Amino acid sequence: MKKIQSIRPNQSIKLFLVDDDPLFLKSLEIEFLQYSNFVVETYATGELCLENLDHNPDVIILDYHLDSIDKKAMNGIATLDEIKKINLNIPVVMLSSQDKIDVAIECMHHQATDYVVKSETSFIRLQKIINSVFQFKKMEKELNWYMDRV
Amino acid sequence: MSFQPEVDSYLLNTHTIMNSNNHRLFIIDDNQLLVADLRIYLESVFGETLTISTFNSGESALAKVDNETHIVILDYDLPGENGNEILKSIKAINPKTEVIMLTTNEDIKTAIDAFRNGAADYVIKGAKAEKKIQSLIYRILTYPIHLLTREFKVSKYVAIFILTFISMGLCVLVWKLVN
Repeated sequence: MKKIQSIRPNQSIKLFLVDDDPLFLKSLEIEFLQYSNFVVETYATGELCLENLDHNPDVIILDYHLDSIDKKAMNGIATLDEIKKINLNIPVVMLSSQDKIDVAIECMHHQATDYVVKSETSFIRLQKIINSVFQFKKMEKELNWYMDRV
Repeated sequence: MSFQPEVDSYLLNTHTIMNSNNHRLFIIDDNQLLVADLRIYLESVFGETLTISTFNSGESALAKVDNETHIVILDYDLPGENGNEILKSIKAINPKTEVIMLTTNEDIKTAIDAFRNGAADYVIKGAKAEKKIQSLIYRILTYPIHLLTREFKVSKYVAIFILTFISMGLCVLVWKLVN
């Protein structure tokens, strides 16, 4: 597999992976850990993710159907809302098995950064999104730097 | 797409508040039948609250967009034009303009791009579109009420009462200052 260069070559990116499907969670974690620039923390529920938000993740990858196994667990949208209440600036990428535009629009209304449908290529999509998030952050920082001096 | 007028009781309650401002709305779509239906429908529901202008191309609409343009309903699939580019141009002229994308394109990536470029919503053309557009416009027009209900957890009727009270208070203040 061709290695995609990180936008932050000398700094590691802290990722939170949140999914109640242990198999998918493990496979995604293994794929991300193949790249030395990722530090990955995995959580099976939205509640656990929220409890550990003080670990300051750079990006959160959040499953839409977090209540598919435990029906009483917080679902993806509720978790997303809580994350945004605590820190509006954390980019949250929603991950779902549903290739439905209505679900994607709902996620965007709740301030998700992007929406990725689970598939064999979702890792590549996620990696591209994470790189573009940091590209955007870098541009934002540069713009603020220039604006401060104007 | 056919639009059946259906006046919401809540809308009637908030009519006084909405009427205090006249909002300019643009419909940009090359389907003249759809534009005519949508215009009749919105005029019957929102009455004089909205001043509606229609355009069959993004280029002709962009020449008219200004600081007074509150809402734009934009067809994403205009022939020879890119819906997202028109959206970006509208936002560049007036970032406060609320743009509702109306489209047959159900591609998730296109919808996400529209939101990233500042679209207020992305509505798929079809049977449910008319209700969706009505509720969106109505949310935009009654934004202060929704802000109060969301931020202070008050009911919409309490929010209407608070806003009416504030409006009347301001009227009395202005009247006292004038006299």
